[in-house]
Amino acid sequence: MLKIKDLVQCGFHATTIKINNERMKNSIKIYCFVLGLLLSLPLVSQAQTKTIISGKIRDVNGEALIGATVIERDKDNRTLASAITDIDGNFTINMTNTNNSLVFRYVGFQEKIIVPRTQRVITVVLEDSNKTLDEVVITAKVQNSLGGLNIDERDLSMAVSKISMDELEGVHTSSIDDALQGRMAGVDIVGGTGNPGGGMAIRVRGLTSLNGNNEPLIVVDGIPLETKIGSSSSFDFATATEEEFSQMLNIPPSDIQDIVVLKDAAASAIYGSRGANGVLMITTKRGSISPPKIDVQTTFTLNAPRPTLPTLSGYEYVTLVNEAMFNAGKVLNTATYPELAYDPNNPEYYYNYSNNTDWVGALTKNGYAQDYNISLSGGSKKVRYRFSAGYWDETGTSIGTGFQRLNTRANLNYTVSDKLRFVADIAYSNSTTQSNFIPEASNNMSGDLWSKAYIKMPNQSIYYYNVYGELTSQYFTPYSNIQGKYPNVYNPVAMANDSRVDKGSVSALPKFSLIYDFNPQLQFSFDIGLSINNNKTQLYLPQTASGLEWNNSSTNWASDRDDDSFTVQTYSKLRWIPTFKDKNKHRLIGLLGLNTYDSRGSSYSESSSNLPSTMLQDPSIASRVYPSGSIGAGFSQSRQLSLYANLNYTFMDRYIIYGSIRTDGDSKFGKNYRYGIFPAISGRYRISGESFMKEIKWINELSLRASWGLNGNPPNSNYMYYSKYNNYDWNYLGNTATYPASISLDNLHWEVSTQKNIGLNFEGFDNRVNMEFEYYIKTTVDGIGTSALPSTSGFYNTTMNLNTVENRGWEFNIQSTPYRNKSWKVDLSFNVSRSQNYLRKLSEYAGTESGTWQANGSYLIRNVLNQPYGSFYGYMYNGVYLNQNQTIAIDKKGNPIYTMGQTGEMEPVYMRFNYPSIGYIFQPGDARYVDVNKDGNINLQDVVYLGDYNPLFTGGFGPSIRFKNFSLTGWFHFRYGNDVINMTRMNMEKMYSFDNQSKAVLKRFRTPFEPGSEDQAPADLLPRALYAAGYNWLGSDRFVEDGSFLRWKTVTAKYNMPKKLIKGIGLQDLNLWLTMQNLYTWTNYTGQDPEVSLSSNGRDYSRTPRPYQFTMGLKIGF
Amino acid sequence: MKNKIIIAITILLSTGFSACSGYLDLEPVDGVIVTKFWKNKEEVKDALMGCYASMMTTGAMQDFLFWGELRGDLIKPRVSANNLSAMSQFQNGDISPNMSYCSWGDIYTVINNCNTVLSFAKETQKLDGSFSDQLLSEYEAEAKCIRALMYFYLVRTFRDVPYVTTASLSDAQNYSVPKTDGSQIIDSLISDLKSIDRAELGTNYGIPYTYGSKKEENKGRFTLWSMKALLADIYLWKDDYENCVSQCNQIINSGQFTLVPVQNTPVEVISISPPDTITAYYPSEGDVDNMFLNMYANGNSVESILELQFGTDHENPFYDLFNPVYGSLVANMEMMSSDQLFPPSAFDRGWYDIRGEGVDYKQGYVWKWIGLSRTSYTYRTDGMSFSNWIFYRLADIILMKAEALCQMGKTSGNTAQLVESLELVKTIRSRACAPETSNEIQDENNINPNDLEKFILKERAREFAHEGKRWFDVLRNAKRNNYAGISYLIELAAYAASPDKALSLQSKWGGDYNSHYLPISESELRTNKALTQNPFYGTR
Repeated sequence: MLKIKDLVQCGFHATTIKINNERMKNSIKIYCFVLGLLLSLPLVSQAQTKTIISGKIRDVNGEALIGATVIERDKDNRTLASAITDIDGNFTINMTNTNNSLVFRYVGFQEKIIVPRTQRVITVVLEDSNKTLDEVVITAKVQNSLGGLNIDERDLSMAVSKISMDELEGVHTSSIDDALQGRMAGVDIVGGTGNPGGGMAIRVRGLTSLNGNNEPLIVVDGIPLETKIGSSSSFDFATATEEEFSQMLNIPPSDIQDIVVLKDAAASAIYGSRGANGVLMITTKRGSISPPKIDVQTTFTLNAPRPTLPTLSGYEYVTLVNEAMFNAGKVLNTATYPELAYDPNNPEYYYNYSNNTDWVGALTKNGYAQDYNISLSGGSKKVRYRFSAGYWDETGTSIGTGFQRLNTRANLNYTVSDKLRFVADIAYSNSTTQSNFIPEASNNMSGDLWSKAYIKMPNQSIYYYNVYGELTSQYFTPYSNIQGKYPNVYNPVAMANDSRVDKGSVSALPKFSLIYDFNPQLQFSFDIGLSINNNKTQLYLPQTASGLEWNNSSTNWASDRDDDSFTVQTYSKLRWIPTFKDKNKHRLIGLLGLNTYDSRGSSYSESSSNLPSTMLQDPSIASRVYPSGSIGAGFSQSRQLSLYANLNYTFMDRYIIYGSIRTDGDSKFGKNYRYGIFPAISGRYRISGESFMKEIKWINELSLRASWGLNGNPPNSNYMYYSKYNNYDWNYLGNTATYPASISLDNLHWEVSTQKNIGLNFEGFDNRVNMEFEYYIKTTVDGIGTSALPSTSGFYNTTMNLNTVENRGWEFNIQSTPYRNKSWKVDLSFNVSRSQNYLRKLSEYAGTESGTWQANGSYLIRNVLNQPYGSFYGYMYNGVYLNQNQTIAIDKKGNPIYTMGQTGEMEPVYMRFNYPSIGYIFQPGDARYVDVNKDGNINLQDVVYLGDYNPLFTGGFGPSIRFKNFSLTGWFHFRYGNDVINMTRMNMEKMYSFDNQSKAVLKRFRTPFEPGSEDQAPADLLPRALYAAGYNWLGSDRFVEDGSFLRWKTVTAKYNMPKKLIKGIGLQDLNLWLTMQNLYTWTNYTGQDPEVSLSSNGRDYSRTPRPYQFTMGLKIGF
Repeated sequence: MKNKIIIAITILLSTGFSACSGYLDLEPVDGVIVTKFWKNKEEVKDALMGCYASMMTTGAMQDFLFWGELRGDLIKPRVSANNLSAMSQFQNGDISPNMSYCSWGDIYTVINNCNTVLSFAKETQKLDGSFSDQLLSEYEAEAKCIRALMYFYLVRTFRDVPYVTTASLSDAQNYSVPKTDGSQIIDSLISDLKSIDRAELGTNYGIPYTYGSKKEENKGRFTLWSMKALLADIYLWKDDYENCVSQCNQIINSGQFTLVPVQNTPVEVISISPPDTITAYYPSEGDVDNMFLNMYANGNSVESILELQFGTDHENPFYDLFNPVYGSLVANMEMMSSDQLFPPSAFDRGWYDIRGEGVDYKQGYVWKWIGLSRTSYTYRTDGMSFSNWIFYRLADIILMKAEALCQMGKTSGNTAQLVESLELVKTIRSRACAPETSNEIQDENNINPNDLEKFILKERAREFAHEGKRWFDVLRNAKRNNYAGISYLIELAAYAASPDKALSLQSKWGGDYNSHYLPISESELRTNKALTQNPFYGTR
């Protein structure tokens, strides 16, 4: 017999084996081999004394059943032998022990068990099982698998919230994060772009870490999902965009059963340091004991673009820049600027620069999405299975954007015996995201073309006109014109059509669990989860879009980058559930566990330029490999080790206490600070369980909960406790050139957060109302962050333990069923939460300020003690100086300030900016800022607090109405009280360069208003146009707007065909539905969309807005 | 069965625990860690070469160029330049501490690389038996020279800066270093450089005379002569003229360097009205072409003393900055034009200064750093921007000496020194075939030292246009004798700033001499609490 011990060791070997890139594949083979062996385990026969039993299997009509199964089972329900009936229904089986039972099975028939004892020939009659199957009632308590602790929901003392996918029915998203927006109290999900595959940022209980890593841990069926791909040098959370994060979340919503969020430290104690930002536990659907069931689901979606911001026409634009030059004391010399000359004698410029191009409109189109899912599930007592496959194909509302995904998942539960079970899951997905090449972005990927299209000069043509005024099919892409040069000037339409940014992601997630019950009290389980990820990023920058010379190193530039990661995680758990005589009095669960984590990432990239044609986009094609650094590789590895013990005790069903202690070790720390110890404790008091409460019938459940716990958070990067030496990409005099690349971080230690939580659960009125309230304080001490180092050290920044941040907030969630009868059911749910962070201690090394007060376009971002992170500071905008008199400085008493002039006469002092180092004198038509300290000088002393990007409240609500087979569900999502800096408006109202502007600038200041007639000035008068001069767009409250919004996210109308009707055509289920998403947004925000990506720190650059979505769906169950 | 499983679990757990101790010890595979470096002399040399290489980063190269030229009057931003407004604000003197030009980090990176070599070289020698005392002293001397050159740039640009001479190794160190007085730093640099002068000390230790026969090595690394060039420059900045002249003399007399020769033919030019005869000089065109090729396009000419060696594996940022297609900077033709720097001969016989069109500029573009030929309009394309950056060449030494002699003569009234000084200027001019119209000292028997000073300054502008020297030259002359020469800056402002800004810039430079130095970058003040903003730029 194959020994379990060998198997386990084999599995363990797979975890410790030294794996490099090539070996990764071997490990997969090992794993598959192990899996195969296990599957064939029951068929392995045993060499012992056997007894031959033979017989016949028939149905009630006496017909022989061909291919029926006969199984020998011991008292632990372990399979020892099996046989299959032949064409006459005869069987022969070698029984180990005739006192064991023989199980007779045939599909569609009722199972029969016979213990042969002295019998040697058995004739069995099996009955049709159709009637009995319907009557199987499965009763089970709702349990939450908190990483193997399996505590009943009513015994939970921590902050946990759960959502079942049934509640999200009809919501049409490629990724689960979008569907969850506003659904769970305390979980703030914010998207940044409406492009397909765009991804979102998830924050559980607000922002706590300066680390850049604030994303929660995502756990799928007990195994944390690996979210770091490639070596640390290439994938860094601080710089990663949400797009990169979302690629890891490649689980189709149709495979998900439910999602549990663990919010406090006590709840996340199982996953330790990696769960410090909260844990999102996703449970996928599994098979149940039933005949095979096939579900097919398909949807079709139309993505319709939203209206865009209005911009100037070609003539309006030329008038504006003329005026801007004039006001700045410059003459618009049409010889220098032939783009603005409109001179028919210069036909090339005349035709190409006399248009009215709607650049944003040219980038926009309708998008479509189609989605197919098929699943097969079922099972018997021994085996339960669910296989699913899905395909998603979507194009966005911007040209050149799209998303495709193919995914499959197999979930298998196998019960070897009453003592031994195993679970084998394997998920595979392959996805590709297409987006646009963004030359001005540091990674060429973040951002999108919209912000460029908005400011592109409107008189320029998209396609090239030849000198005869004939429109050609070539893009018109000068490498430089008055707007600047590449990479700031390019043809966005050509870029959208010809460039390429393909991000491919392939991931395989095999998981294997072995569960062994020593006895009903003691259980051992061992999980091993592998994560094999390969990300491929292919970029291509065509000459047709950049317009660069053919020998430029960016012309027809292609890059190909591979990031691979291989992660092995093991979870060994020993669970102890003692049985007490009085089950209702004592309930105890204990857990002892050891987790290991090993992750290796490697990356390889290659780029080359001057590829011969736009059609050839692969860097391996003969081309120029230049400059240095066009080939790169990296490798990185990290490990973690945790040991923990948990205990949950329930007394009298009323008093519940839970304690946990764990020690975490992380390879990212130096030896001195490698291990941390993190305890947690929580309790629950069920008031409704007291005898005096029994009388109050309308209360079904009333509990108070409290928890306290610590958690540690390691830094993101590996090896930081070493001082590293690197080589420059170039030699000096043929000699290698080495330099110190980092200082050693000897003082870096764990960032520790303490979380205190109190909660209240209420259920009443016949369980029709279910309420939860939580209040928490989370204090993060020694927050790890990047600190600027004085550059006199030779380094610009380093990582160190910095600030103390406190997050305080509350969450409220109510689910109710106000009305319910036989045909009607009305559900209402609502949640709201508040999370506010405060800086409680500022490290002297922490950067307390970024941005500048001395330049246009910049806000001071300050971190102030006892204030939230990242508050905006700037000037107060007070309209426009309407005439010269208004620019005279006013002192504290309200009198104009005068000074002795050179000729001995008193002269008025005019308002200045940043005197003496700049000393710009404000002119009529300039933006007027409030001179707070009344010194006639607009400078740092006039900078005030303007707002911050943290919302006061976030949440959502929605009704669900069912009438017979018809249902209507909707959802609304809101964020309230966050400020947004409307950078798009700033860029489109600054009138400072040759950029196109919004229609609002038509109301700009043109001539001074005579003293006395100031009130004739319109209220929305903008400052004068001023080319490359003046201070009209300093960071001020002019561009800070209230970003509160209420979005009608989704509404679904669904019809469930009556079972009777469809049974005739052999179907079990037939659903039809219609969904509309992103229907309407109520907001005072003037930009495109107030939902601004969290990573942009409250700045709106107008990325592709979320489209209106109309979806038709169909689900058929066989 | 049960026992087997228990055994399996025990094995599993015990292997897990026994692996604990080493399990979390991981070392990076890409890059070397400090404990594995500094084992032999080759690694010390690699790190030393790293010091040179770090001067070649785009950031450091831009510092050398922008600090030396952007506030001057020889270049200006192009109208379509990417960061036009920042550049013109800087040039107009509207300088605020948030500007990237005020960031000194790239220079301190070079300094830290030098400090690291200096702090580890000795220990490495103990581990490597083949690492001789002499070689150690040579490596250390080189690192000190590079460091001195960097501090000299910082002092000239910011005046008082933190003087860091210890390597940055761990986060346990204190990096908040206060400013040191600029003149103190200058003195430290001088004593540092003197301590490695093997010629003066008479030893075999210290900075070597030569690195063998390869000219790239001898021009690309600090030698005794380039060290002396730096020392002379520092002495001149310090107004220590005797020492400056003495260093210059050692270089000039070393026989290692000669001016790139340009043969010229004197021609008697007769003017009819007013009747006059003058000697005009016509250069050999081939020689001028070769001079351009040798000095700038190819580099490492016979005249060169120290230049950064760019090669095919690393480009300088000059293509991006100067290329005629979309570069950010162009030559300031208002200054380069005929009535300023390069007036043609009044005799109108095609006598022209060879340093004008084709060398300093071509068709309005800065030509020294991207041109491939003086006569034809061929320039380095993207990916080929490899021209070396010249720190010192013999012409510089000659004019330094001339300037020092002029100052000595001015103080002592010794006409011989003034005559000698003028002779040196004429050496440079005669190579350049400079016509009589740019000759500001016509009467050689009666030299006004103030005129000579002005003449030398202008000659330097012609000779070293766009070589990163202009601003420092003007400032040095302006600050001399307690800002007796402030008019040089006032005059500079008229050509450097845009017309509407010239007046305010003149009042800034004339009103507060502190405005001649750059402010400390805003981010630097935020991180280093020991620093205070330079005067003129407010308290922060």
